[in-house]
Amino acid sequence: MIRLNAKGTQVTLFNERGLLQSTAGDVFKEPYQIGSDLCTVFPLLGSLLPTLVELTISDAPFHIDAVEGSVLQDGIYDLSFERVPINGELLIMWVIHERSEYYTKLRKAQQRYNEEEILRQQKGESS
Amino acid sequence: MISKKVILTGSFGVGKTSLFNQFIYSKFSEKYLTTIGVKVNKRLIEVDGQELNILLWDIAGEIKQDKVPVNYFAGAEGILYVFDVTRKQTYDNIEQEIEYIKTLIPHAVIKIVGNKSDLLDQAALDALTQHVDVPIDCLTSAKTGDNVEQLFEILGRELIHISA
Repeated sequence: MIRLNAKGTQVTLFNERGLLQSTAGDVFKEPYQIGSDLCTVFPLLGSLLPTLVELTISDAPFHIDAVEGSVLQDGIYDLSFERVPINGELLIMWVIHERSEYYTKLRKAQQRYNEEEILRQQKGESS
Repeated sequence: MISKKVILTGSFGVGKTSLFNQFIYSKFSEKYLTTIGVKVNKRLIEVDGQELNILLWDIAGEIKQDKVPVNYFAGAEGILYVFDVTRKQTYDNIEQEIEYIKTLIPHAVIKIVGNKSDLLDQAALDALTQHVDVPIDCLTSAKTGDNVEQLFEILGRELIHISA
């Protein structure tokens, strides 16, 4: 179940042309009018639309995790997309969940590992 | 106008984010900050009089490409496989990694990019071609900006050509 009032969540419906049908949440930095072309605002969406329109209502949600974007509030987000029939039209539902705390911890651990590994590799190269 | 999704991929610490920042913002930072997932931005370029909108994905570095979430590759038409010219481990298994990517996106244009070229002299860069088991398409320096524009021009030209 999607909680529309949950902090760090945005639920958006758009059509096969990427035009906004409705949206609710607190993740978008700016408000967008119904009918706005989301693909021009969100390059990620622009590059995924051909894939998303191929989804059917029986397909599992399509996930893109750990996304950082300048048009979203500062943070790291998990995205999911699925086809939903609404008022006789097959729309795409886009759900954004903020997961900054989790990914920040993960990044810290990954950073430490990567730095140690790069150092180890460089020492190996020079020996 | 033509739009194409292009992914920067390769091992960690090879400079994918630096290439992303150099291409999109004309900026470079010495500070290394691990990419944990994905960042996407776009830039309009002109190649041979044609406009091309590059939708560029900067993804977390993985030594093995089968660790990259498959969904990241969805709809990609261009791949920039980046390695670090100073770290053998980042180009050791490049042929197998490219083969794996081809199984996911068989029709994508793939370019092999040796980054951090500013850290080696010309003789070492010339010798590199003998150590990398696939042809290198471009040697870049995200730090100095050397060859970064040319890299996207080469890729863009091919992307336009295949969509013609």
